[in-house]
Amino acid sequence: MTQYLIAGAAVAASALLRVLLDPILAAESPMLAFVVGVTVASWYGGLRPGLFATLLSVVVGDYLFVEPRMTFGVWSLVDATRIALFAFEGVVIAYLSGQRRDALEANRVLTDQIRQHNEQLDIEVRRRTAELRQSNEALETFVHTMSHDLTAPLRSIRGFADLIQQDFAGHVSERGREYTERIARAVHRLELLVHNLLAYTKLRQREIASETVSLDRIVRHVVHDMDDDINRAGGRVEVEAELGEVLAHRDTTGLIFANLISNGLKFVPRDRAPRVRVGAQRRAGRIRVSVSDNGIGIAASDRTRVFQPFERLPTADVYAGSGLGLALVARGVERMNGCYGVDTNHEGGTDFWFELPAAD
Amino acid sequence: MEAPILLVEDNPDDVLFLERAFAAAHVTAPLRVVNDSAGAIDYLVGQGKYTDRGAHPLPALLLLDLKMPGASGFVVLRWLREQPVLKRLPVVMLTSSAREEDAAQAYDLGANSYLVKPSGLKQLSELARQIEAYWLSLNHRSPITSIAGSGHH
Repeated sequence: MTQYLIAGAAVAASALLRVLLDPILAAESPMLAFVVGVTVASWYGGLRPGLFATLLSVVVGDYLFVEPRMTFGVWSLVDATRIALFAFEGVVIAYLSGQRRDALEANRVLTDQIRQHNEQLDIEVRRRTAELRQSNEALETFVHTMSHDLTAPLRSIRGFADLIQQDFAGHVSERGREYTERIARAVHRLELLVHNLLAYTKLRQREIASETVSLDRIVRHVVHDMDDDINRAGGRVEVEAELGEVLAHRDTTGLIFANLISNGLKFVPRDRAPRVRVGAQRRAGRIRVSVSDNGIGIAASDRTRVFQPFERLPTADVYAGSGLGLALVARGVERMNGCYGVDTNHEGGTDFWFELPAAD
Repeated sequence: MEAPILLVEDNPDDVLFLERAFAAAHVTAPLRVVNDSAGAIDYLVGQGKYTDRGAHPLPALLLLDLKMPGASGFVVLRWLREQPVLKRLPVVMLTSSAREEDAAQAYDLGANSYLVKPSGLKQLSELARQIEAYWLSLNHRSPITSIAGSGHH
């Protein structure tokens, strides 16, 4: 409705303009001024108000300015042609304006649709993220509860095996001692598996914060904790001096060393004493740590597979383990923005390496 | 009698192992055990079974488990830190949970230390030895008294 009012006002304004110019123009250009009105009406209203303005202009123009004035008649052919030409111009202007308005409207509708779509996507993303977070929290709680419920009885079994050995040392035969020793070892393996499973879940779920850590101190602790395992395997762990400091997560780094050293001690042929060497090299802002062993080695074709969770290579089948150790190493190094890899060394054993940013 | 270590632990196996571990580490301070949060509070207040302070002296150290049936260790910790003077009792959490949130909450509530229970007698004895060496020998304690109005001598 307003567009028609605007049209009417525009035509009235055009008429007023022509009236003001009448002393100069007299009978000349009766319709020219109305072009302005029609253009304005079309701009604001589009096709129909434009056509309305054109028609109104013809009526008003004919009545007021075309001879004979103050009548709806036309005397000359020239004037008639002028009116016709004006009407034609008006239609063209109205039509083009209409197209423009249609295009604008279409654009607006499209933009609205896009905005609505985006809002819906936003809601959906928020919903899915919340679901995922809930699911992750549930998983973590589950793993923690399982881990707790498993470790308590394991602790009991191990403790009583130890107590039997201690309290009944005089009464228990060599074989009895061996059996309790094997109970303790089996429990220890299970405890490691639960610990690894928990650590692996945590690595997948969370951000881990890095800080400056001393590789020397971490390796020292790990080797100290593994003292029993090293002795039982009849092996040796040699650690180079001054490995350096890196930006890393302390516990995760410890876990990585524990798993790599443990693998080095484990995967050796029966008749060989395992020897694991830990070294580090400075390389342009990073430190490359290597853990080398004299074990059964890893074929070049297996080098990627070996880091997958629960992958056990056929060559390693006879050795006990969870298949999670190297997956932990891989995930842990990745989470700390490092890189890792494996090579065969000149003894036929394996060189595991990983790189972390140097602390300085 | 030397001030005891009060162990708050519900798992009877863990109680046995810890008693053996402290014995193996030659810790002279007696180890007193309560099995739940209510028992712990009773002991510390000197009520219920523990009104005789001569027989049940205030401890020099609280070893507090987390996961217990009924009220968790956090309940004891929160209560303890609200008691005037008694709140100065050093508390070492001794739990199987290695969860970050549990450690964070323990420290938030005022625990002095957070230890994860190791497996194996050798490891437990080492733990007992270190607890004794640090918390009973090295650490300087501030005297704590019974809650005013309770306890007899």
